[in-house]
Amino acid sequence: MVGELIVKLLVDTAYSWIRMSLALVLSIIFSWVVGVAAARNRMANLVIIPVLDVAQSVPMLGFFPVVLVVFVAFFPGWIGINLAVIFLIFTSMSWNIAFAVYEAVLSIPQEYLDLASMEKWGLWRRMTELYIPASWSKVAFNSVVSWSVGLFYLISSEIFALGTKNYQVANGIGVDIASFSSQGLWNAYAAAIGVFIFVVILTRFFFLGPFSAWSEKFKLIEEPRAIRKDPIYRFYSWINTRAASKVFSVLSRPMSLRPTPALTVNQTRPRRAAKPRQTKFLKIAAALIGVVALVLIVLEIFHALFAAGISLTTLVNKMSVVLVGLAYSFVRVWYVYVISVAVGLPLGIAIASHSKLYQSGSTILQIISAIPAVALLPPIAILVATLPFSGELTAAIVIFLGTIWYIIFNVIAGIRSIPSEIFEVSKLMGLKGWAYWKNVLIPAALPSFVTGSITGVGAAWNTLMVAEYFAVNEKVITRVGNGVGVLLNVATNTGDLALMGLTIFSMSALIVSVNLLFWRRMYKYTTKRFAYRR
Amino acid sequence: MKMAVDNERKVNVQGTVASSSLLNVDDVSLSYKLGKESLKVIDVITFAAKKNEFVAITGPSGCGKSSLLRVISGLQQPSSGTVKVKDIVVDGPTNEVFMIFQNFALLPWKNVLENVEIPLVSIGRQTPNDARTKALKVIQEVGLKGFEKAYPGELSGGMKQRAGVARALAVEPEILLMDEPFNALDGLTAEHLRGEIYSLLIGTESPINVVVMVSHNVDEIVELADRVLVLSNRPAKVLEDMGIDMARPRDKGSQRFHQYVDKIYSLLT
Repeated sequence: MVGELIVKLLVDTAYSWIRMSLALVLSIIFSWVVGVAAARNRMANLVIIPVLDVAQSVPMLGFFPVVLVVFVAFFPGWIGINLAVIFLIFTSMSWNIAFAVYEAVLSIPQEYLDLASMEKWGLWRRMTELYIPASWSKVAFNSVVSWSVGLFYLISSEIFALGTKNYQVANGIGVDIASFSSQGLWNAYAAAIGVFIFVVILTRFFFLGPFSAWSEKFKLIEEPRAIRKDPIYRFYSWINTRAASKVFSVLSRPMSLRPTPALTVNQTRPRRAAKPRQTKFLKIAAALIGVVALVLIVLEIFHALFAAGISLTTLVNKMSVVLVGLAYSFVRVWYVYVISVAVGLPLGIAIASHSKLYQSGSTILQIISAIPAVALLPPIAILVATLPFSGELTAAIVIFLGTIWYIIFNVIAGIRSIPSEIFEVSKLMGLKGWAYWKNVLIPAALPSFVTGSITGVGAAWNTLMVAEYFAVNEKVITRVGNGVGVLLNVATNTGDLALMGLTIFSMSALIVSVNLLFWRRMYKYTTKRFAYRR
Repeated sequence: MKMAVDNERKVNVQGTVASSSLLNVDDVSLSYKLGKESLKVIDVITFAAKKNEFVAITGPSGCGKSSLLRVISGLQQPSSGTVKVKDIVVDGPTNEVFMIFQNFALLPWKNVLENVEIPLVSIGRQTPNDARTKALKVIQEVGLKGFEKAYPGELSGGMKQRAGVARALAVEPEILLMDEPFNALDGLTAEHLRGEIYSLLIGTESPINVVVMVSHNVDEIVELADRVLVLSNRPAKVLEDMGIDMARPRDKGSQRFHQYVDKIYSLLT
């Protein structure tokens, strides 16, 4: 019965949406606490900002198995599983909202703070009458971003849980997508995707959109009307709704780099810089505390492992397994990234620089990109099942679909943020064809291309968790030869906490190092040399 | 203002004799399509400019001055009418016309030298060696010697505009368009550059024969222009086409200067 199916799908979507909403509420509360603390307390700032920075750059989906095991240990059955899913979505949603609050509180004009001091407001009064209203509009704006990010985690976590023995989620749209496809019910699968996209669009236009528009009136600093009406600005807002730009709002500031110029248009710079001398002392203090805490944690982990009867040799053996898997995944992420760039960079530039293509193309792209790549995994796996290396091919296609949008959308946004004079002068200078691409379009796209790459590679690592190993009710549908996604699934099913922990730890360490040693330099270099400034 | 009226008639007479004018703007109109409605930006504008003439265009904000410049440059096609440079109809960007922009429009990822060289290689089809020699020469002329390797982001506003001027000089266009070239600069810098720009552009060594400048700084217009077109509110028409007949360098304190300034102000308000 079609009617029954639709009702079931809507009910299951409602379950998923309740998880999402709870996670969003949690994220907003968390952000107000953490964001205000980081903005108003120097000591808290030195701890919170680096922690948030690391947390937003590691693939949180990798932590899902641990979260599942821990939550179910405390809350057996469906409560624990649901809490784990909500917690995971919460982790994905909260970083950019927290940074938004931090920034909004920092940019409160001094007069308001003086007023609060003169009136001797307490913390509660300051929160309710100053910090929360001042950050409302940014919180709303970033909630839209977070919602899109959260959708990926929702679907992924529901699908991931379905592949495990003890941790399956009962109702959810992601569950429907995975289970219909595994039974070969393709009509039902298509209906599930359709309902999902329908509800995504509905939510965007009838809930998040109005919410965002309503909260505009809380703005302390009015930005010029012309800017708000500017299609480029609107495009940015739209791009931001598409998850892509966690980095736009996040990465640039905590790393104390320059914000991307396109955004400085509507953001006042934080006005109170900490006094350098004191900061240096506090930084050393914070670093010391951090190191001591880290040593204690590591000691505690080893203590627990040895207590559980795990010897050093098994640990070393497991570590070698992890490193091999990690190498496979690393190579996989990078070759897929290179393919995404080869396709996404020219495509993004072409779309952005032809206004007709831009007008028709952007809507289509917007709709296609609303589907989390992992939801498309089942039909892709079936389609390529007969080909050689089908597991590898499936993973590559799904990771590609999870990565390329970040490249395309950021490149488009980058090119569109360049003032039209640059393109006019290029025409007057007679630049055409390859000379035009080489001298104007590609350099213009570079800073935002790097931004897109950072988020894109991050997304690739996340997608990997599901794309490398996909199973429904312990029946493996597709898997690659080796990789961290496989290791994590195996570890979850066998309850191998040591393997799980080592995998996550090594993966996070690798990603954070690549970010620090490679991407951050690229970002600094490209924004210094290629960004457009008036 | 009798002399101004005389000048106007003279120009109109010359405008009809196409061969003596380098630039002819004939019955140009422009409308944009906004969804189903169309927005008329330029009503009908006709004027001509002869050799060594510096024409200023002014008018209320948003009246379509910049659009007119873009039509002349070939970046924007008029809805009707034609633009002719040396009797050849402009139907796209040409080597004969170049523009100096309000916000300089330098490529931020190229240094000063590269910015000046690019059009030489692509428009002028010069060899890289010739382009380099030429670029270094004009960079020196505009007073940027020593800053060849600097990137636009490292230069002050005035220096950026000097680089913009250098690029325009290097291209050697017949007609140079300037879209509020001093507007983004602070007062003192703008005054300095204004003082130098006339001799750079219309000097005996300069290949540029006509300058068309959009501006709403009336003092600037009287200081620089041989002639000013005052446009109406949107859709733009020519309200007044007036010659500014004063010897150079012009004395800003003189009574004549103030008469011209007052006259233009009265037309604008």
